[in-house]
Amino acid sequence: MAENKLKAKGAAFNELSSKEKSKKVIDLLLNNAMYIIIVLAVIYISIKVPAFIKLPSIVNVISLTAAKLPIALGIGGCIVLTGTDISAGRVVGLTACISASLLTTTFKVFPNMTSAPPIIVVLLLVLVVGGLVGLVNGFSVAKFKLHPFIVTLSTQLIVYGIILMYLMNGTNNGQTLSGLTEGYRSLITGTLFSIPTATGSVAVPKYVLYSIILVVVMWVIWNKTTFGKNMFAVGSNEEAANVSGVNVSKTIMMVFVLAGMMYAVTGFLDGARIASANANTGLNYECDAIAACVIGGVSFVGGIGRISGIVVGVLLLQIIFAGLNFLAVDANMLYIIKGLIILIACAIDMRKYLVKK
Amino acid sequence: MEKQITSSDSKNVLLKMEGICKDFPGVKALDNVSLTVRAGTVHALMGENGAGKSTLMKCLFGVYNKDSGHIYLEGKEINFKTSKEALENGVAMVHQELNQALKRNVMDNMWLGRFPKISKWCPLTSEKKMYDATKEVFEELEVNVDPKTVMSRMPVSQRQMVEIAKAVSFHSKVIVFDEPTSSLTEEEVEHLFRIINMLRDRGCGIIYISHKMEEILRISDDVTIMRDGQWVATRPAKELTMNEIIRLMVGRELTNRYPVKDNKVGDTILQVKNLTAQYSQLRDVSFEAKAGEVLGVAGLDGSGRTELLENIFGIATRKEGEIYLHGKQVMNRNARESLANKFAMLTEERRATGIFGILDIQANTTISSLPKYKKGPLLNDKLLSESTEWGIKAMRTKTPTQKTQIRSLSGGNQQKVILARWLLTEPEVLLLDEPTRGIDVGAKYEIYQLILDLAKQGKTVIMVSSEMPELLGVCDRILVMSGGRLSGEVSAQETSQEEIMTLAAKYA
Amino acid sequence: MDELKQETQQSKTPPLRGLYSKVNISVRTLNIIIVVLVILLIGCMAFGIKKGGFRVTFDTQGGTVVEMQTRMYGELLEAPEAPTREGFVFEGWFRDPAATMPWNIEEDAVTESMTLYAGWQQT
Repeated sequence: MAENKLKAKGAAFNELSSKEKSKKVIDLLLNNAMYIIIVLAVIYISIKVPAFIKLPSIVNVISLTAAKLPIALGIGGCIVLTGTDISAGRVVGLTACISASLLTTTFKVFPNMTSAPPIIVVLLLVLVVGGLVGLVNGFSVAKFKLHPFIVTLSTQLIVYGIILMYLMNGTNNGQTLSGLTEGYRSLITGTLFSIPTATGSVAVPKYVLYSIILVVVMWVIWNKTTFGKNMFAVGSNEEAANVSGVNVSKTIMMVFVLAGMMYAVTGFLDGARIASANANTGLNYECDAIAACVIGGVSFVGGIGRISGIVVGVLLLQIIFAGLNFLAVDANMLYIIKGLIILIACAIDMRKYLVKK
Repeated sequence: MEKQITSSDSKNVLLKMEGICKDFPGVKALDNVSLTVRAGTVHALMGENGAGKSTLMKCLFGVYNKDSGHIYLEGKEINFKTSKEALENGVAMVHQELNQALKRNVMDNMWLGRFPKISKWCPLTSEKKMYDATKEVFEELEVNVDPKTVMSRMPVSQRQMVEIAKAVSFHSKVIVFDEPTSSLTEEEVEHLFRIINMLRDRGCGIIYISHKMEEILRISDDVTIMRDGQWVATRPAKELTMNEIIRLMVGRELTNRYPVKDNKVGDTILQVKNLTAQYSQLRDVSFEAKAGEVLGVAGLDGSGRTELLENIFGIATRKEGEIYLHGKQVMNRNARESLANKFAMLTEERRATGIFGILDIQANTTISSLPKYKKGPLLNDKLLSESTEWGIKAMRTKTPTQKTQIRSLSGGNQQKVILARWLLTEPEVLLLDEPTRGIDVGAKYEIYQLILDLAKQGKTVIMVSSEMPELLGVCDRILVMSGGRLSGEVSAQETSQEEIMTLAAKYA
Repeated sequence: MDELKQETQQSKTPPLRGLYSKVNISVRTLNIIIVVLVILLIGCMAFGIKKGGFRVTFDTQGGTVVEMQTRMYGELLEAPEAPTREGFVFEGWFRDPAATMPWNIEEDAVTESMTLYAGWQQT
C-alpha cells in the first residue's frame, strides 16, 4: 500500500510544471534538512572512522539513547502543550543525588544510616520528588497562566539550590556521591544480554529494557487514554478544549507531573549508570531533550507530536554526538553545534507550519 | 434598484468606489457595490450584520484585496495595500473597537510610527514638537485632554477623540466612523456630532457606519443601504424615514431556503430566571424553553446574545440567576458541569473556540465524550472510530477519512463535525451561537435541516443568529435582546423583521 | 491600523497558537535563514573535525617537561621519553595526581581529552 502511495505521489509530481517541481524539491530538502545533515555526517564519519559502525559503538549509541529517552518523553508532553520545561536537567540531578545518597555503602549524607533502604522505596521516593516539582510547575502554568519558560526557570534555580544544600548534608560536604550498592548498580547497568563478537562480547545494559518499557507506557498514555487525548486537545486549542468540557488545568498539571516523574526515572537510572552523582549531574540534559523532541517532529505549534518521533529524535541526536566524539571534536565546539541544531530544528518546524498558511 | 444622485452633486465627488466585488470561499461577500462620497457631506452606510459594510471598508483600506472594481480618490485611481498607506493618502478610519497602545500616553499614540524628529540631523524624537502639535489639534477639536495623559486612564469616549484627532492630524480627506457611538453617553455623542459637523464644514467626506437610525437621520446627508453584499439604494437622508430604511435593509422575501418545519413543541423543560452576568452587560434575563422547540435569539452585535448562551453554559461568570432543567436547578458553573447536565454549546468563533485545527476529525469528534469509549482504563479504538463514523454519516460530513485534519475541511463541514461532537454527549439542550456563520448557502440548508431534526427528537435548541430571515425560517419563538436585556419575545410565525428590528433597538 | 490587518489575517487562517503565534517572517526569508544556519552548522562541524583530536597533556609533577600529544578516538599514545626528577624514580603515567589509577601507554586507547600525571618513587 505504501508503494502505491509512493507511485501515486510520483505520478502527481510528474504532472507539475518545472517551476512547481523545483519548488517541491526545495520544500522537501529544507523540511528534511536536519535528517539530511545527520545522514551525511554519519556516512562521512563511518568512512573516516570505520569503528563507528562496529557493534560496540552501535551498542554504545543505543545505551546512550536509552539513558536520555525518559527525560525527552517527559519534555515531549510539555512541548505538545506549546510549553517547555527547563527545570528537567536539575530534577534529574536532584533525583540522581537522592538515589546515590541512599543506595550507597558509605552514607556520607545520612551518617546515622547503617543499611540502604529497599531499592523500590527509593524509586518511589524519587518519583514523588520529581512529581512534586512537576506539580509546582504545572500548577503555576495552569493557574497563574505564566509562560512555562519563566516558571521552570525559577524551579530550576530552586531545585539547584536544594541539590547543593542536600550535598552539604552530613559529612559529605558537597562532594561527589559514589560507592553505590551492588544491588542498585546491577539492577540498572547489569547485563541484559551479550552479543558475541570476534574479539569478545558486547554487553547490553538492563536500562535499555527499562527505557523500552517506558516508551511503551508513554505511548499508551498518549494514544489510548482520555488524558492523552485531552493533552493534545489542550495543546491544539486551549479555549476550545475548555468549551468542550476538558478540565484544562488538571490536564496541564498532569502533563507536568508526569514529566517530573520521567525526570526522576532518568535521575534514578543516571545515578547507577554513571556510578556517581554530584551537583552537575543532569546539567543541560533538557537542551538535548528539547532538541530531540523538535527534531522528532514534536512541534511548538502545539498539539502535534508522536512518541515514535521522540525516540527517533533522541537516537539521531545521540548518533551525531557519538560520531563527532569519534572524530575527536572539541567539547566546546560541541556546545555550539548543539545550539545550532536546536535553532535549525526550530526554524524548520516553524517553516512547516508557515507554508501551510 | 434605485439610484438618485443628481448630476450637480457629482462635481465635488471625493471618493468613488465602483463595481467592487469580493469573493470568499463559498460566499460572495461583495457583489458589484458602488459608493460615492461627496466632499463636505456625511454619508451613512447601513445594512444588517453581514451585509458587507465592513468588507467594503476593508477593501478600501487594503485589508482585503478586491477581486474587481475601481476606487477613485479625487478622480485619481487608488489601490491601497495597507491601512498605513491609506492614512498617508488622507483616508482614515475610527474603529468601533479601538486599537491603541493603552499603556502609552496620548501623544505617543497620536504620533505612533511617525514620531517627529528634533531636526533633520538629530534623529532623536522631539517630545516638545509632539506635545505642541497634539495640543494644536486638540484645541481645534475642542478636546480638553492633556497630551501626556496615559491612555488607559481615560474613558472610552476620550480615547475615541484621540483616534479622531489622529485622523485629523493626518489631514485626512475621508474619515470612516465605524459605529462610533456604541459606547458613548448622550453628551459625548453630542460632542462627537459637533466634531463631525466641523469636519464636514471643512470639506471632509465622512463615511458613517451605524445601526442607530435616529443618529443616521440626524447627521447624514446621504444614505447608502446594503443587503447581502449588494448595493440596494443611495438616497438623500431628508427623503428617508425610519420605516423606509428598515424596509430597504430587510427587503427580501422569504423563499424556500429553509426546510419544512415539522417539529412538535412539547412541555417546558428549561427555565432561566433573572440571569445576570458578572462581567458583561447581560442583566435580568428570564425565559422558558420547551422540548422539541427551536428558540431563536435575535439582537444587534453586542446586545448580549452570545453572553446569554455563555452564561447558561457556564463559560462566563454569572452574578445572579437560576437555571432549571426539568424543574431541577442546575448550577452549570463550568463547561464540564454543563456537559454532565446535558447541555451543549456551539460557539460563535469556530476557529478560536470550536475546532482543534491540527487534530484529525476523530479527535475533534470524540473529545467531549471520551469517557464513553473506555474499556477498562484505556480507550477503545474501535468504539472511537465507530462513533466518529456515526458522526460523519449522521451529519453528512464530506471528508476523505476520519484521520483528515479538520482545518482542511470547509467551514460547513467543520461545523458539522463540531455538531457531531456535541450530539455524542447526548444533550437535551443545545445552545448554538451563529451556527451558520461563514458557511455557504447549500451547507446552511443542511445545518437548518439538522437543527430541525434535533428538535424533532425532542431536544431543545436555542439558536443565536444575526441573520433574521434565518431565525424566522427555522425557529418557533424568537427572543429579542437589546442592550443586555430581553426586549421582547415573539412568535416566529406571526412576527416580521420590522418588529424584531424595532425591539432590537429598544434599549440600544 | 496594522493591528486590524493582523486581526483579519488571523480570522482568515486557522489560528496557529503556541510559540509561533506571533511569528512575523516570510517563508522566503525563513528559507534563507535555514540555509545560512545549515551552512554554519556544517562549517562548525568541519572546523571541529579539522581541529579535532583529543589533547593529552602530561603533568610531570615537578619532573622534566613532556610535550603534549593529540590523538583521534581510539588511538594509542606514543610513549614519551620518561621524565626525570631529582631524588625520584619515574614509575609510569597515571590518571590522577595521587598516582593510583595507572595508564598503560601501550594498551589504553584515548577516548577524551585528559591529563596524565607522572608517578614518582622516592629514592
